[in-house]
Order: sequence, then C-alpha cells, then structure tokens
Amino acid sequence: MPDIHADNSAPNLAISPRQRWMGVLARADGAELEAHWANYKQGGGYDVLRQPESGLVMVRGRAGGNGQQFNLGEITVTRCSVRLREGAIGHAYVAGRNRQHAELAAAFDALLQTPSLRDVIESLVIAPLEKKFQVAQEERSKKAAATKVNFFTMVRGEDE
Amino acid sequence: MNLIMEPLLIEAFKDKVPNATDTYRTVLDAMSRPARVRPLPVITGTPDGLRAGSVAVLLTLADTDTPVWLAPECDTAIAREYLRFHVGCPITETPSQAAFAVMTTRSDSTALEAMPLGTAEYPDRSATIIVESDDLIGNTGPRFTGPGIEHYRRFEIAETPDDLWPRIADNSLLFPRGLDWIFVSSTHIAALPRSTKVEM
Repeated sequence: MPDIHADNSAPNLAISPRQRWMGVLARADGAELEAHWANYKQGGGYDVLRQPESGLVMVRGRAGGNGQQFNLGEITVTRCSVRLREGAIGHAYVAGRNRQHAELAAAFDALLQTPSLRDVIESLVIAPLEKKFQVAQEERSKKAAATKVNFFTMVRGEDE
Repeated sequence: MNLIMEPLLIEAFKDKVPNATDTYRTVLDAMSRPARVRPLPVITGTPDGLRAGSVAVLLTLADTDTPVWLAPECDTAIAREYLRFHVGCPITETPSQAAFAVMTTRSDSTALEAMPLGTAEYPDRSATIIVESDDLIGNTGPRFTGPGIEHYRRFEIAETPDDLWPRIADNSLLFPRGLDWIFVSSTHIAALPRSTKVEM
C-alpha cells in the first residue's frame, strides 16, 4: 500500500485553505448549515457522486500532545461526495451519522472551490461558523481551567 | 485549481449495500449455472470505456486487494478515475498481476496468455476475465457441459473473436488451475467457470 505520508517535504500550502473550510464545515451544526444552504440552493444544484454513508474511524492521540501515538477509540463518521452542475467536486467527512450534514458540507466544499463564490461564502458562512466554534471552545476551556488542580511534589527527601 | 481538467465523475450504485448484494447474487448464479444468460439486477451509469455489466461486476467484486487490468479499448482516464473513486482498486499495467481483467470482443487477446492461472496449491490465485460484448445470446453457438449444467447448454456472444472458444477449451484442461470468464453486455451477464467444457 502506498504511504501517503511518504512525502515529508514542505507542506502543500495551496490545499490548506481548503482543509480549513472543510474542518469548519465538518464541525458546524447540521441544522445551521441547512439554514445557510437555503441562500444558495437556487443555483445550479448538484449531483451526488457518493451517497452519504456512515462508517467507523479510529481516532489517534499522543500523550501530552507529543508523546507516543495511541488509539483513543473509534468514532462514527459520515462521508459524502457531490459534484456541482458547474463541475467542481466537493467532499465531506463529518463526525456522527447526520447524512444531511455530510451532504451539505460536501456541497459547500464544492461551492467554495468556485472562484466567483468563494469570497461570499467565506465571509457569510465559513467565518461566522468558525467564530462561533472558537467562542464555544474558549468557553469550554475557561470552564475547564476554572476546575484545574495543580499537584506539587514537596520536598521528597531522598534526592540530595 | 483547474476545475475543467477534473474528469466528469458520476455516481455508482445508488443504494450501495442492497445493489451490491443483488449483483453478487446474480454473479453467483451466473457462475453456478454456466452459460445461462441472465439480466443484471442493477444497471448504473457508466464512465466512457466500460459497459454497465463490467461496472456492476467490479463495483461488487473488486476492492483494494484486487488489481484490475484494463484492455486499451476500456482504458480511459475517466474509467480509471471512476474505478479509483468508487472501487478503490489498483489499476495494473501488468497482466500477470491482475485479479480481474476487462476486455471487449475487439481486444487483442495476447494479454490473456500472461494472466495468472493460479497454482496447484492455490488455484484461487487466478484472474477472472470480464469480456464485454454487444449481446449475449442463449440457445445457440457452442455446447457447454460440466458442473451446473444438466445435459448441455448453448451460448454465444456477438462478434465472438475466432480464438475465444478454443482458448476457453484449452483453459478447462488446466483444471483446477485456469481462468474464470464473465461475459457482460450493457444489460445481461453470463459466466463460464474453469470447470465448464466447450464442444465446438
């Protein structure tokens, strides 16, 4: 099997904006995406290349963020691929089993690859969703930080 | 980003699991009742180069472990893209590595000589040849006998290449090694496993 990580040279910067918006779309609330989609569905529409389908993905982590890699557990992921009538192909992988969410995330991914629409969608859909996600995350971090307990080891004696 | 260069991919099985299960059942029936022509249960849209029959068989049977060899008549950029996206199978240029081969009645058959026949220990390590034809015709043509056929059955394909039936006759002599054959049109399927004998 070919190793997709074999190329360790400089990361391909051209794809990183797309990775970002795909991440935002995947983390967004399905119902919220649906509300946004109402503003764009009068366009050419899309054909589904791969119907939304659910499967399991192993989530891996590193102890402390930089330690040994370990398998954290499996999560349900739903994926979908669509093609706009204009030609752009969009993909989506979202956590959970919300088929509609996966389909719309793929549709937005395709729209965002259309140069004439990218800026509009970026500012009206992606930026607000990202902002909302960041606020929610900060909120959560704050709550967690408030309950943080620091453990100190006082003098143990046996050293020195 | 060049959107125009992206080949026009189309959808495969609409309802993946039931469609693949139905097609699998049909391929199984075709293999166990050799030389009987039966309709495909699910007909999908096809990429340029491939017929609905080969697409249905590959969507059902091929996966990442089964290298697929395409004859030049079937080997288009969009067919490769389609198989890579929907099936995930490697496309091989080397006939001897193929698990499945797709060819038409017009294809040059010399590549068949290099297809794996399996070994005496592992006869399953052989290739399955998918032959595309305009039409599969029952009750005419050469007589076939063997397991799954009570007395004999007759079967013919449109535009049969001259060397096809002699080749299949030779192939059955290799049993338990040998190639398995699936014949497809855009709507129908029939099969000749290596155990079937041809009388010309």
